Amino acid sequence: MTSKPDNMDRGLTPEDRALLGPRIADELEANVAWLAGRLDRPATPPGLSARLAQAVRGELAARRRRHRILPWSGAAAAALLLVSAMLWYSLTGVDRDDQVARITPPGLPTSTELASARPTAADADLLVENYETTVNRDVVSLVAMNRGVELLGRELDPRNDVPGGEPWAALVDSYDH
Amino acid sequence: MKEKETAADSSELLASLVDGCKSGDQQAYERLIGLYSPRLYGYLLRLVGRPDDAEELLQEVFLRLVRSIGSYRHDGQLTAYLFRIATNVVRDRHRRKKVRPHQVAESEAAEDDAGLALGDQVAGDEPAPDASLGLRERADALNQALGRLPEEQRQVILLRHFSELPFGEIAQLMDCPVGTVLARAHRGLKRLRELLGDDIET
Repeated sequence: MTSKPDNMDRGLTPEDRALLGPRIADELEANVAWLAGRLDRPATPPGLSARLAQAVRGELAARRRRHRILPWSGAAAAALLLVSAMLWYSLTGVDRDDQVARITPPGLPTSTELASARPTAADADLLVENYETTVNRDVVSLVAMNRGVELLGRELDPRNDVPGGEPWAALVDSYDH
Repeated sequence: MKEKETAADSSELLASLVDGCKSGDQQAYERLIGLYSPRLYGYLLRLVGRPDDAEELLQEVFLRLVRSIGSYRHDGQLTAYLFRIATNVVRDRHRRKKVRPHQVAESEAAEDDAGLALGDQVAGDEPAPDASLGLRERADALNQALGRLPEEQRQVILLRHFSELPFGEIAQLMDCPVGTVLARAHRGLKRLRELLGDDIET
């Protein structure tokens, strides 16, 4: 069984007619109507809707599965990245120092400088000052943690210790002597 | 008045179906399939020529709808949205096959000559051979003529016929000026009538 689209007598809009001009517009309208009278909508194959619904159901189920798995895979990827980074840092100390030295902001003592000579109070002040002003706090923290803390012989976690707080004060004090 | 109410009802129905689809409601998708698959199937079949290809492409249309419905903002343009997806699906198919679309159409039209594709589908459910012979021949001739039109003209004509959208919306979904769409429709239909030897008859 076939059926015809039901709007083919709607014709052209005034804007369409203005674009085409009256003669062409009339011709096009007549031709559209002519085709509407000839070109039927083909019958759909038996069971088409059911097959389409099944495909959609499968896609929806796959999407639900993906949504369930995605947060866990994201967390797993983040954990893997973190472990890899930690391993990299622990296995490539020399490279890390070089990198820190390379990206240390200008004027700040590099890790090499801190290692080769006892830092002065000015160095420590500079560290603290830079920590508070530079955008590259991780670098400053890393220099302080790896060299300053070793000199102090105590743990200092730059993620937890606030500049100006007790560990930093101890660090600064230690440079004075 | 009644017409306006029907349009409003239809608009509300579509809006609620879109909301349902966005929340992953299978029933809402099934309603959309029921509403749109006949027109989309007709459009795809006339474009690609083979019923099995048309069905495969129609399935791809609804799968793409599932994947993209989250970013679709319903503004009463669902018909245009679905036909745009269908047009893109056909375009992607032509790209994959790396042939120019109207070459496909012409080769498929040639197969029609051997009675393999379009004509069978068009009149597949017609009961009486004697009564339907004339209709079937006419449908075959029309399909073959459509297959000989340049792809752009054929697409505009079929979009207009099956989507039931005004030319302005067809221009939007095809990303081209409305003047271009009107010109393609005019040239295509004129050529179609010439091919069928029907250019004088009204």
